Amino acid sequence: MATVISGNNGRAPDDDELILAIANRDRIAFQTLYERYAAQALGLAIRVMNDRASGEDVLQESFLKIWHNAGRFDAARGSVKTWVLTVVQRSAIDALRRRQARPTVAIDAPEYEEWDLADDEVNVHESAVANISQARIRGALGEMPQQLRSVLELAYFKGMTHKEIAEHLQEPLGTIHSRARQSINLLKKLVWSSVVD
Amino acid sequence: MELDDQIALYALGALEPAEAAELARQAAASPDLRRRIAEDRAVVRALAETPDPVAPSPAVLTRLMTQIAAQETPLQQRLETAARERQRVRGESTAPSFSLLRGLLIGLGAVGAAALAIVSLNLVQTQNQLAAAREEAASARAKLKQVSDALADQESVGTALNARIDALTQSQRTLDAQIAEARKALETAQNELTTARGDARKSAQALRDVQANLDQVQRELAILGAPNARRATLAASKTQYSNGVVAVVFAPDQNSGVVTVANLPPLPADLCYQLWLIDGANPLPSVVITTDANGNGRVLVPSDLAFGNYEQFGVTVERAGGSPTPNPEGPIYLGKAG
Repeated sequence: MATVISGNNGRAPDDDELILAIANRDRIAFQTLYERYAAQALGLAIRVMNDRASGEDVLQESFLKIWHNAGRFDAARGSVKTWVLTVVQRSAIDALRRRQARPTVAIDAPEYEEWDLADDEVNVHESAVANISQARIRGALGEMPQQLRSVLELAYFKGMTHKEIAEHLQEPLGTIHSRARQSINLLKKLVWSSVVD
Repeated sequence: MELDDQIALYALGALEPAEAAELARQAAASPDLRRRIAEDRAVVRALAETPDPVAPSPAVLTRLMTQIAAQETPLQQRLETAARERQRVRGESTAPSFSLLRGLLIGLGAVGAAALAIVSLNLVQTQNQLAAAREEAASARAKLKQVSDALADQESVGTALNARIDALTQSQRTLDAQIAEARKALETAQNELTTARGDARKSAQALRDVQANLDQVQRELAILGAPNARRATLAASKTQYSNGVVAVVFAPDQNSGVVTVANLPPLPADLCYQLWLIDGANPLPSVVITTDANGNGRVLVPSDLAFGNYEQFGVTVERAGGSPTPNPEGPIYLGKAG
């Protein structure tokens, strides 16, 4: 069976080649992509779900979505890795919401539609982030004041809305809004300083 | 809520659904807003890489691939879809003929150059689609071959299984034949055993008969050889019995005797010769005398009374089995002890 793996003269296929092959139902390419990102994806899923078993369920569910939706991937809107981890994060949040009997938000709900941003706009930001090492992002998050980091983490890793975060932290909504903005600005500062460096 | 805050919360996915939808509508009309959202979203997405990687158990990939295999569209359906797609792409690529394009270009002049670029681009895209469709068809053919190979393997296994079944059936038949043969041998053996048991019973009976005869002979010898044995020879009282000989030997102390006959005339089956012990005028019924075809015979004569009390003996013709009273016609042989 011809696959993107066997057709590359021994060279490891890049992510874009893999995702194209997966869109054409190449299972070997799919397994290759899985092996490339499963550990990172499971780490993320466990961070959201707080237990390994649920994390593995999310991992399975996410990669099934990747198999079925690979044809919808658009390289102009970001990297394969970002797309994979986004699918995992959103699947995990949905699973967490189901477990907590909170309303779920579908991945392709209108409010999460990607707009037709000009390719260069998206790629500038994505590329800038992609150039930052994982350790550096983690370090920046660690150095961030706890009250800012909490808002980021509750929103991104626990899927809470700003009202839920305010209730959870027993802080005024305005405070939460302000902290959300500050925390993202700190991260952006890291990104751009990294690009300048 | 300030717009900056909304953008940050939107990028974090932390707006309520209605709020997010509203901001999305605004962003659709505002390139600047879209750019700002893209900036925030890019850094938020970087958070996905902050957790430590955790190697999944192999079972996850196994379950995943099993699930995918179960959900795969049947091959035939995919082949048909690929064929339709190929047909569609071919139709699109041939619909705008080159002569028509050329005519359009002449008519449109300078504008035609731009149109040519667009049409050419479309043509390239169409050709790319056609190439993709061809790859899809090639992939489908390869999978079809895989399925065919798998089918051939299964047929091979099926043939081997059929051969095995035939062999087992043949073995079963052989076994059935052996069982039938064994049953037949068993039946024969049982018959032989039955016959042998019958023969054994007959032999035992014969042995008993011989033994009885031997006992009788020994008793007869004991009588005949007794020192005080007495003998009575009976004479025929009627002419037709004159060739016959009847003799009685008895030992008075043994209370038994032996009657020996020879050349007695044959009797009808419903008649027999019977011996009588006579004490004066009182005849005592004794044994029936059986003879062979020549009228010869010897019979042991037991008696509850001492033979010494009976000096005279007679023989009559009686109904078969003997009679308690003598034939009124009288004895055909009669004689006294010497």
